[in-house]
Amino acid sequence: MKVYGFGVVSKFGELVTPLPAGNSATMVLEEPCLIMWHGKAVEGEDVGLILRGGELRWVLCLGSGEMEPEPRALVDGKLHRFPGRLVGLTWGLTDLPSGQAWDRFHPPWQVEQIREFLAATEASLTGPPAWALLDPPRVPEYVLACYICRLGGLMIEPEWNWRERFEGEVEYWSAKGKGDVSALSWEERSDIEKLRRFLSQTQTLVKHATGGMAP
Amino acid sequence: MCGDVVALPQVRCESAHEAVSTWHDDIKNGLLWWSDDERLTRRLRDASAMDHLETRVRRVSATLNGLSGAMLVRLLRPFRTVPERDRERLAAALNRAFEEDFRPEDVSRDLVGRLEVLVQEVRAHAEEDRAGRSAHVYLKGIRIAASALGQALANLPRGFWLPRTPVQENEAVDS
Repeated sequence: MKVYGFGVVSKFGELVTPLPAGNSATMVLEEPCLIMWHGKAVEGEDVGLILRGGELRWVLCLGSGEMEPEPRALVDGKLHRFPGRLVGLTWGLTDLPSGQAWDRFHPPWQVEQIREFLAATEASLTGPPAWALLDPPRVPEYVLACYICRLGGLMIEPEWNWRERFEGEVEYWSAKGKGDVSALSWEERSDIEKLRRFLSQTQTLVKHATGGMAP
Repeated sequence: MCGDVVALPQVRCESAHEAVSTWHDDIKNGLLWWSDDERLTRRLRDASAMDHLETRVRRVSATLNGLSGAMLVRLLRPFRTVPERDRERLAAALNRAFEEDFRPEDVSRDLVGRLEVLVQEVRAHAEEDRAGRSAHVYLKGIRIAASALGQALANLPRGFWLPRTPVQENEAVDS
């Protein structure tokens, strides 16, 4: 599948084929295709994207969560909200600053995730793109393992090497916290209340009140 | 009975998966879906489908221990570096909490009890049906029994069950 870039995503270099901005953007696209789109032009003005027809086109809208509730995307001449062929990143690419390559500016886990997604999309002959590859990093298993240790009566002390293989997830969740989820640091691995709160906020732990006995 | 359920996408709970599948495939789609009496009757005449349902529910009730959070001690990658003896002690503590708070034997008995009510209704229907008599009077009972069994299956944890409070330290330490 062909991957086009529109707007500031030209900073993705050879990973995407740039589409020209402005009124001249009317052009025939190879289908199926993915259009990566960033709503802000280099000059700081909004860029509108109008898609007409093309059942085999999908749009990945990059940017922060500020896109909602108005994603400013026009599909077939109508304001298009997120479900459907237009998808946004839940974790956001906060900025694509001028003068810097995107992959040097963003954290490694974001770069890796976008690269994997683009590689899978390019390799795919049909659609839709592998959106699942853009899901936010999962809760690291070691957080749950630490919580289980505390639940089980402090018999095992969580070890530093438990974090190995979860670097991307650790980087994601330990930065500032995401949405309603508080950040959790490794130093808090013995604090059962904080572990529980984190696991509950991320829906890793869900309350279960009735067991198997139906009322 | 109060506890938490772990829903970690990368670590699947086979027992929970089997319970949900049984509820969805065999009870909801297999029986409750048919609001039309004629279609439900045709479904009930398929003895192999009913045998399959019974086998699956009995398997679910016999494997409830797979819902214990102790399974996570074996499945989570960080625990692979932990000595086996420590893992066993941790799993034993979690299993103890599971036995005491979740009470799998009671849950299993309840499930089997509901299943037997359904089986009884289905057999009564089958006898009348085979004898060429109108068996529609049994359909209401079958639907009620299937609904009760389905509710019990649907209420099972959708993942691994964990206690909500720590196991007491003195309980967890080897005697």
